Formats: sequence, structure tokens, C-alpha cells
Amino acid sequence: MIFQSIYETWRSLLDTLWKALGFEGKEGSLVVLGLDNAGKTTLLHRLRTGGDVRSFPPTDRPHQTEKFESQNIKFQAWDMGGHEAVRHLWEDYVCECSAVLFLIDAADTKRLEEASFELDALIGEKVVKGLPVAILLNKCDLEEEAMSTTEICKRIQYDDLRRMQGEDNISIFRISVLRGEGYQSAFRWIADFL
Amino acid sequence: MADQKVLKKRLKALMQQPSNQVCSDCPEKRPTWASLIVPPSDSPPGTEKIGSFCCLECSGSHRRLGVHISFVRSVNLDSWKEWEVRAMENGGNAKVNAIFEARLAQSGRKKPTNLADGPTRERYVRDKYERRKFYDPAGFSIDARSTASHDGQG
Repeated sequence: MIFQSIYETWRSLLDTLWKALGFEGKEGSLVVLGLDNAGKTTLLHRLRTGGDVRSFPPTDRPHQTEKFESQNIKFQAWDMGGHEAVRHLWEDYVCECSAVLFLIDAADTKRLEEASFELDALIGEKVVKGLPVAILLNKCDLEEEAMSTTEICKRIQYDDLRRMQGEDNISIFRISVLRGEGYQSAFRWIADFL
Repeated sequence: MADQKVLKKRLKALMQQPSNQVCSDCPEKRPTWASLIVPPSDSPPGTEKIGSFCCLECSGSHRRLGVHISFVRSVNLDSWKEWEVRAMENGGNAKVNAIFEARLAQSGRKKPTNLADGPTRERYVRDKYERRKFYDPAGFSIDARSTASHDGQG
């Protein structure tokens, strides 16, 4: 009995210490945005199951994923539809979240301007102020089609976005959901904000 | 920018045609998604883009093909461009299937059911549009308007 209570005291003490050091108990809520067919649902599926990539029908209404873990942090995410008529909902969901992921199809040269327009509008919103925004350039596995980061930065006027959002609150990552590469560093970056 | 109301009206008119009231790739009724198909590089010169109406589930498979093969739009959730609507008028499910399913019967393959899972649909959609297993470019010469009036009688 005594041993047990000593053990429990120690354990809760250790738990407190562990949490104080920031090793445990961190949680984050995300909202995943971007044009239709950027790879939002597929990314979240991959994060949640760790496994196979498969095709998904377009997302027509927002839905919340089950919890998943990345960089030892528990995350919950809102998967938003990317089609034009549902983009007005983005703002409402950003309010509830601690970080924003914005996916861009790096291989779709024709729609980069449209993506840039939406990103610009988003960064201008009050609710996004102070939140970390990770821009994920997806489909970089398509080596021939995918544009370079330099080209994309120029075309989306990344310097202006940084100025508006604050340099420390925005970052850009090359990823491939298909290969399971690149988004880990984005999560590491987000983890520092939580 | 073209007037969305007018463009959507043209789309809705196309969706009234019986052949467009069934998904191009499965038996699902009243599809509200569209796939804009880039003509294969070896199709007759001057061949214009064509489009078909498909259901939500099948549109998911189309998206995996990549935009060099097909580009997915929602009738209700996206705004449309003039060339996109023209591609739908130039195509339609009867014509698209006359091209991409020309040899389906003789191949012995069956279309997926409307309850088929994702991988089954994707296999079929890839065989149909990417590997072109049932393809016959002769269908490109069909005048979509004449098939539409044929639909009307049937």
C-alpha cells in the first residue's frame, strides 16, 4: 500500500516534469486548405493511417479527422473542400485552429495563379494573424512537371506574403504525399508553435 | 469573365440528355461531376477537348490520372470557363464512351457497379482513359449534337 502510494506520487511528479519540459501533452488542431485536387484528403489519410495512398473523391463538405500523431504531438485536423463554392467556409474553420496547412499542386502550372489568389486572400484575413501558415508544395515526385521552389515563390509573391504574415509565421516546404516525404519537417516547424 | 449563369444553364441543358443522366464510368444516376478529357496525342489533328459527366466516386479516380489526361470539375461547386463548357457540348457521355469504350463489349470486361470500391473504379478508369484498352478514335468524328437528338427520341 505504501509502496503503491510512493509509486503514484513519483509517477505524477515525473508526469508533471515531463509535461513541463514540453515532451508530452502537446496537442494541435489544424485546418488543411488549398485548391481542389491539391492532395489535402490524401495527406490526412496518410498521416492518420501511415500507409497506402489511394484515390479519394473530391471533398464537398468539411470534416474532422480522427486524432493522429506526428512529431509526438497529437493532432486533429479539419479537411476542407477545395472547390470554389466551398472556399468561403475556410475562414470559419481557421478561427478554431492552431495552425494552417495550405497545399499547392506544384505540378499544376495552369492553376498556380488561382492558388496564389486564394492564398493571398487568406493571408489578408484577420483570423489568420499570428497563426503559423505552412505552405506545402505537393506532388514534387513528378520531377519533370513540378515547378522549382524559386519559381513558385516568385509567382505567388512569397516575399509579400512573408511581410504580411510575419517572417516567423510562414514557411514553405516541398513535399510528396505519394512518397511520404517532406511534410514531416512542416510538422516539426508547427510543433514549435504549440 | 463569361457569365456563370449562362454557362451553368448550358451545362444543365446537357445534363437533361438521357446519356448524360448516367455516370460515364459506372451505373450511378444523375452525375454532377465532369471530367474534361485531353485528346490523346495520336488522335486526328484538330481534335478538340471532350468532356463527360461522372459521379462523385468516379471523379475521384479521374483525379488520380493527372491533369495531362483529365481535369475534374464540379457542376455545382466550381465556376466554369467557356472552353470547358464547349468541351462538354463537344463531348458528352455518348460520344466519350463511343471513343473510350468502343471495344468494351468485345473485350469481355464489365464496367464497375455503382457500389464498387475505390481501387476497382480506379483500375477501370485507368484501363479506359490512360491505357486506352477499349479505345477507338473513330468516335471523335461523331457529331455530339446528332447523338443528343437521337437520345431525345429514345
